[in-house]
Amino acid sequence: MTQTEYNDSLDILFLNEIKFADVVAKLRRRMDSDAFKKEEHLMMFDNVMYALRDYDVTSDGLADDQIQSLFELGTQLSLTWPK
Amino acid sequence: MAYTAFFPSFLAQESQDAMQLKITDNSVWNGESGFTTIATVEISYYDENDVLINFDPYELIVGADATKFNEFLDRTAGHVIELSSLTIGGVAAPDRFPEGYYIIKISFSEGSYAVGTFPYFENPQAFLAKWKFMTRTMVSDLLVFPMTDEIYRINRDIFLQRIYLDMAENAADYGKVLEFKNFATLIQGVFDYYSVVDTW
Repeated sequence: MTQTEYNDSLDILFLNEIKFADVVAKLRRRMDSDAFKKEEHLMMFDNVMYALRDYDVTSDGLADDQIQSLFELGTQLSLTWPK
Repeated sequence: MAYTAFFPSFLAQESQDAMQLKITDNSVWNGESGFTTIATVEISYYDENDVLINFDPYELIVGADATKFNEFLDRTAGHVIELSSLTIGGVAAPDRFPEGYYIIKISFSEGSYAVGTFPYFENPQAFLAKWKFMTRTMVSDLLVFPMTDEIYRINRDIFLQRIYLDMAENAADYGKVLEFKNFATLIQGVFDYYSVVDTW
Protein backbone atom coordinates (compact mmCIF):
# COMPACT_ATOMS: atom_id res chain seq x y z
CA MET A 1 0.00 0.00 0.00
CA THR A 2 1.38 3.42 -0.96
CA GLN A 3 1.20 6.39 1.41
CA THR A 4 -1.42 8.04 -0.83
CA GLU A 5 -3.65 4.96 -0.85
CA TYR A 6 -3.25 4.67 2.89
CA ASN A 7 -4.14 8.34 3.47
CA ASP A 8 -7.19 8.11 1.19
CA SER A 9 -8.51 5.12 3.15
CA LEU A 10 -7.96 6.98 6.39
CA ASP A 11 -9.80 10.11 5.24
CA ILE A 12 -13.16 8.28 5.21
CA LEU A 13 -12.71 7.11 8.81
CA PHE A 14 -11.51 10.53 9.84
CA LEU A 15 -14.70 12.19 8.57
CA ASN A 16 -16.78 9.70 10.58
CA GLU A 17 -14.73 10.43 13.68
CA ILE A 18 -15.42 14.16 13.39
CA LYS A 19 -19.14 13.49 12.89
CA PHE A 20 -19.34 11.18 15.92
CA ALA A 21 -17.34 13.52 18.13
CA ASP A 22 -19.77 16.29 17.23
CA VAL A 23 -22.76 14.10 18.23
CA VAL A 24 -21.15 13.19 21.58
CA ALA A 25 -20.30 16.82 22.31
CA LYS A 26 -23.91 17.87 21.69
CA LEU A 27 -25.26 15.09 23.92
CA ARG A 28 -22.82 16.10 26.64
CA ARG A 29 -23.92 19.69 26.42
CA ARG A 30 -27.54 18.62 26.81
CA MET A 31 -26.53 16.35 29.73
CA ASP A 32 -28.12 13.48 27.85
CA SER A 33 -27.42 10.11 29.52
CA ASP A 34 -26.99 8.58 26.07
CA ALA A 35 -23.66 10.40 25.84
CA PHE A 36 -21.96 7.77 28.00
CA LYS A 37 -22.59 4.83 25.69
CA LYS A 38 -21.64 6.82 22.63
CA GLU A 39 -18.54 8.18 24.35
CA GLU A 40 -17.22 4.66 24.94
CA HIS A 41 -17.76 3.89 21.28
CA LEU A 42 -16.07 7.13 20.25
CA MET A 43 -13.16 6.43 22.59
CA MET A 44 -12.54 3.10 20.88
CA PHE A 45 -12.84 4.75 17.49
CA ASP A 46 -10.38 7.40 18.61
CA ASN A 47 -7.93 4.71 19.75
CA VAL A 48 -8.15 3.12 16.31
CA MET A 49 -7.59 6.47 14.65
CA TYR A 50 -4.59 7.10 16.90
CA ALA A 51 -3.05 3.86 15.71
CA LEU A 52 -3.65 4.73 12.06
CA ARG A 53 -3.15 8.51 11.96
CA ASP A 54 0.15 9.97 10.68
CA TYR A 55 1.55 6.51 10.06
CA ASP A 56 4.48 6.39 7.68
CA VAL A 57 3.98 3.23 5.61
CA THR A 58 7.70 3.00 4.91
CA SER A 59 8.52 2.76 8.62
CA ASP A 60 7.41 -0.91 8.92
CA GLY A 61 6.34 -0.30 12.52
CA LEU A 62 3.05 -2.11 11.91
CA ALA A 63 2.66 -5.37 10.04
CA ASP A 64 0.25 -5.47 7.07
CA ASP A 65 -2.23 -7.66 8.97
CA GLN A 66 -2.19 -5.20 11.88
CA ILE A 67 -3.02 -2.31 9.54
CA GLN A 68 -5.73 -4.43 7.95
CA SER A 69 -7.32 -5.29 11.30
CA LEU A 70 -7.24 -1.61 12.35
CA PHE A 71 -9.05 -0.52 9.19
CA GLU A 72 -11.59 -3.31 9.68
CA LEU A 73 -12.19 -2.30 13.29
CA GLY A 74 -12.55 1.36 12.26
CA THR A 75 -15.09 0.41 9.58
CA GLN A 76 -16.98 -1.80 12.02
CA LEU A 77 -17.15 1.03 14.55
CA SER A 78 -18.39 3.42 11.86
CA LEU A 79 -21.16 1.03 10.84
CA THR A 80 -22.29 0.19 14.37
CA TRP A 81 -22.53 3.70 15.78
CA PRO A 82 -25.08 3.34 18.64
CA LYS A 83 -28.57 4.54 17.74
CA MET B 1 31.68 41.40 14.89
CA ALA B 2 29.22 39.72 17.25
CA TYR B 3 25.64 39.13 16.19
CA THR B 4 23.64 42.33 16.81
CA ALA B 5 20.19 40.98 17.66
CA PHE B 6 20.34 37.18 17.55
CA PHE B 7 17.81 35.04 19.40
CA PRO B 8 18.64 31.41 18.68
CA SER B 9 15.85 28.88 18.57
CA PHE B 10 15.08 25.68 16.66
CA LEU B 11 12.56 22.86 16.43
CA ALA B 12 13.53 19.20 16.79
CA GLN B 13 11.54 16.17 15.72
CA GLU B 14 12.40 12.50 16.02
CA SER B 15 11.40 10.33 13.04
CA GLN B 16 8.82 7.58 13.46
CA ASP B 17 11.47 4.88 13.06
CA ALA B 18 13.75 6.56 15.66
CA MET B 19 16.67 6.57 13.22
CA GLN B 20 16.65 10.27 12.34
CA LEU B 21 16.30 13.63 14.01
CA LYS B 22 15.09 16.64 12.06
CA ILE B 23 16.21 20.06 13.24
CA THR B 24 14.69 23.21 11.82
CA ASP B 25 15.78 26.77 12.51
CA ASN B 26 13.38 29.07 14.32
CA SER B 27 15.82 31.83 15.28
CA VAL B 28 15.63 35.58 14.91
CA TRP B 29 18.81 36.39 12.99
CA ASN B 30 18.45 40.06 12.10
CA GLY B 31 19.74 39.09 8.65
CA GLU B 32 23.05 37.83 10.01
CA SER B 33 22.78 34.05 9.60
CA GLY B 34 25.29 34.26 6.72
CA PHE B 35 28.06 35.38 9.12
CA THR B 36 27.93 32.06 11.00
CA THR B 37 31.08 29.95 10.83
CA ILE B 38 30.37 27.50 13.67
CA ALA B 39 27.12 25.69 14.38
CA THR B 40 27.44 22.71 16.69
CA VAL B 41 24.68 20.30 17.67
CA GLU B 42 25.06 18.54 21.02
CA ILE B 43 22.63 15.76 21.89
CA SER B 44 22.39 14.07 25.27
CA TYR B 45 19.83 11.85 26.97
CA TYR B 46 19.18 10.07 30.24
CA ASP B 47 19.47 6.30 29.91
CA GLU B 48 17.38 3.80 31.91
CA ASN B 49 19.87 4.05 34.80
CA ASP B 50 19.48 7.83 34.92
CA VAL B 51 22.96 8.38 33.55
CA LEU B 52 23.36 11.30 31.16
CA ILE B 53 24.78 9.99 27.87
CA ASN B 54 26.36 12.52 25.51
CA PHE B 55 26.58 12.01 21.79
CA ASP B 56 29.73 13.46 20.25
CA PRO B 57 29.20 17.00 18.87
CA TYR B 58 27.77 17.17 15.35
CA GLU B 59 28.95 20.05 13.20
CA LEU B 60 26.56 21.75 10.77
CA ILE B 61 29.42 23.66 9.16
CA VAL B 62 32.41 21.55 8.20
CA GLY B 63 35.30 23.70 6.95
CA ALA B 64 33.87 25.77 4.10
CA ASP B 65 30.96 23.39 3.57
CA ALA B 66 27.78 24.93 4.98
CA THR B 67 25.35 22.56 3.22
CA LYS B 68 23.95 21.13 6.46
CA PHE B 69 23.65 24.58 8.00
CA ASN B 70 21.80 25.91 4.96
CA GLU B 71 19.42 22.94 5.15
CA PHE B 72 18.89 23.73 8.83
CA LEU B 73 18.03 27.34 7.95
CA ASP B 74 15.39 26.17 5.46
CA ARG B 75 12.33 26.33 7.68
CA THR B 76 10.30 24.05 5.43
CA ALA B 77 12.77 21.21 4.94
CA GLY B 78 15.17 21.45 7.88
CA HIS B 79 18.27 19.29 8.28
CA VAL B 80 17.95 15.60 9.01
CA ILE B 81 20.58 14.07 11.27
CA GLU B 82 20.97 10.37 10.59
CA LEU B 83 21.61 8.42 13.78
CA SER B 84 24.14 6.38 11.83
CA SER B 85 26.27 9.54 11.51
CA LEU B 86 26.42 10.07 15.28
CA THR B 87 28.91 8.58 17.70
CA ILE B 88 29.20 8.29 21.47
CA GLY B 89 32.77 8.54 22.73
CA GLY B 90 33.98 7.86 19.20
CA VAL B 91 31.97 4.63 18.99
CA ALA B 92 28.95 4.18 16.70
CA ALA B 93 25.65 5.10 18.37
CA PRO B 94 22.86 2.50 18.83
CA ASP B 95 20.67 1.60 15.79
CA ARG B 96 17.73 3.63 17.09
CA PHE B 97 17.40 6.56 19.44
CA PRO B 98 16.57 4.96 22.80
CA GLU B 99 13.37 6.15 24.49
CA GLY B 100 13.95 8.92 26.97
CA TYR B 101 14.41 12.55 27.88
CA TYR B 102 16.74 14.30 25.43
CA ILE B 103 18.45 17.65 25.54
CA ILE B 104 19.40 19.02 22.14
CA LYS B 105 21.60 22.07 22.15
CA ILE B 106 22.85 24.06 19.20
CA SER B 107 25.49 26.74 19.67
CA PHE B 108 26.48 29.27 17.06
CA SER B 109 29.37 31.60 16.41
CA GLU B 110 30.64 33.89 13.69
CA GLY B 111 34.18 33.88 15.10
CA SER B 112 34.10 36.69 17.65
CA TYR B 113 32.97 34.73 20.72
CA ALA B 114 35.35 33.07 23.14
CA VAL B 115 34.93 29.30 23.54
CA GLY B 116 32.19 28.65 26.08
CA THR B 117 30.37 31.92 25.43
CA PHE B 118 28.71 31.02 22.11
CA PRO B 119 25.04 31.94 21.81
CA TYR B 120 23.02 28.73 22.07
CA PHE B 121 19.54 27.30 22.40
CA GLU B 122 18.63 24.20 24.37
CA ASN B 123 15.60 22.21 23.35
CA PRO B 124 14.46 19.43 25.73
CA GLN B 125 12.49 16.71 23.96
CA ALA B 126 10.85 13.38 24.71
CA PHE B 127 11.89 10.67 22.24
CA LEU B 128 9.06 8.15 22.36
CA ALA B 129 8.87 6.71 18.85
CA LYS B 130 9.04 3.09 19.98
CA TRP B 131 6.46 3.50 22.73
CA LYS B 132 4.09 5.20 20.31
CA PHE B 133 4.36 2.22 17.99
CA MET B 134 3.82 -0.16 20.87
CA THR B 135 0.64 1.75 21.74
CA ARG B 136 -0.49 1.44 18.12
CA THR B 137 0.04 -2.33 18.32
CA MET B 138 -1.97 -2.45 21.57
CA VAL B 139 -4.93 -1.10 19.59
CA SER B 140 -4.54 -3.57 16.74
CA ASP B 141 -3.78 -6.61 18.91
CA LEU B 142 -6.02 -6.09 21.95
CA LEU B 143 -9.17 -4.31 20.80
CA VAL B 144 -12.07 -6.19 19.23
CA PHE B 145 -15.70 -5.34 18.62
CA PRO B 146 -18.29 -5.65 20.18
CA MET B 147 -17.19 -4.24 23.50
CA THR B 148 -17.22 -6.63 26.45
CA ASP B 149 -16.37 -5.63 30.04
CA GLU B 150 -12.79 -6.76 29.44
CA ILE B 151 -12.49 -4.82 26.18
CA TYR B 152 -14.08 -1.81 27.89
CA ARG B 153 -11.21 -1.82 30.41
CA ILE B 154 -8.51 -2.33 27.79
CA ASN B 155 -10.03 0.46 25.68
CA ARG B 156 -9.80 2.82 28.66
CA ASP B 157 -6.22 1.73 29.41
CA ILE B 158 -5.12 2.41 25.83
CA PHE B 159 -6.78 5.82 25.93
CA LEU B 160 -4.97 6.54 29.21
CA GLN B 161 -1.68 5.29 27.76
CA ARG B 162 -2.03 7.84 24.99
CA ILE B 163 -2.60 10.55 27.57
CA TYR B 164 0.50 9.41 29.49
CA LEU B 165 2.53 9.65 26.27
CA ASP B 166 1.25 13.17 25.62
CA MET B 167 1.94 14.16 29.21
CA ALA B 168 5.49 12.77 29.01
CA GLU B 169 6.07 14.84 25.87
CA ASN B 170 4.64 17.94 27.52
CA ALA B 171 6.80 17.41 30.60
CA ALA B 172 9.91 17.21 28.43
CA ASP B 173 8.88 20.28 26.41
CA TYR B 174 8.80 22.23 29.67
CA GLY B 175 12.10 20.76 30.88
CA LYS B 176 10.48 18.83 33.76
CA VAL B 177 12.75 15.79 33.99
CA LEU B 178 11.20 14.28 37.12
CA GLU B 179 7.66 14.59 35.75
CA PHE B 180 8.83 12.97 32.52
CA LYS B 181 10.30 10.05 34.47
CA ASN B 182 7.05 9.58 36.40
CA PHE B 183 5.05 9.32 33.19
CA ALA B 184 7.71 7.08 31.61
CA THR B 185 7.32 4.71 34.58
CA LEU B 186 3.52 4.68 34.17
CA ILE B 187 3.84 4.01 30.43
CA GLN B 188 6.22 1.10 31.00
CA GLY B 189 3.89 -0.27 33.67
CA VAL B 190 1.01 -0.44 31.19
CA PHE B 191 3.22 -2.16 28.59
CA ASP B 192 4.38 -4.69 31.20
CA TYR B 193 0.82 -5.37 32.35
CA TYR B 194 -0.33 -6.17 28.82
CA SER B 195 3.00 -7.88 27.89
CA VAL B 196 3.35 -5.64 24.84
CA VAL B 197 6.29 -6.79 22.73
CA ASP B 198 9.01 -4.23 21.92
CA THR B 199 8.56 -2.94 18.37
CA TRP B 200 12.34 -2.93 17.90
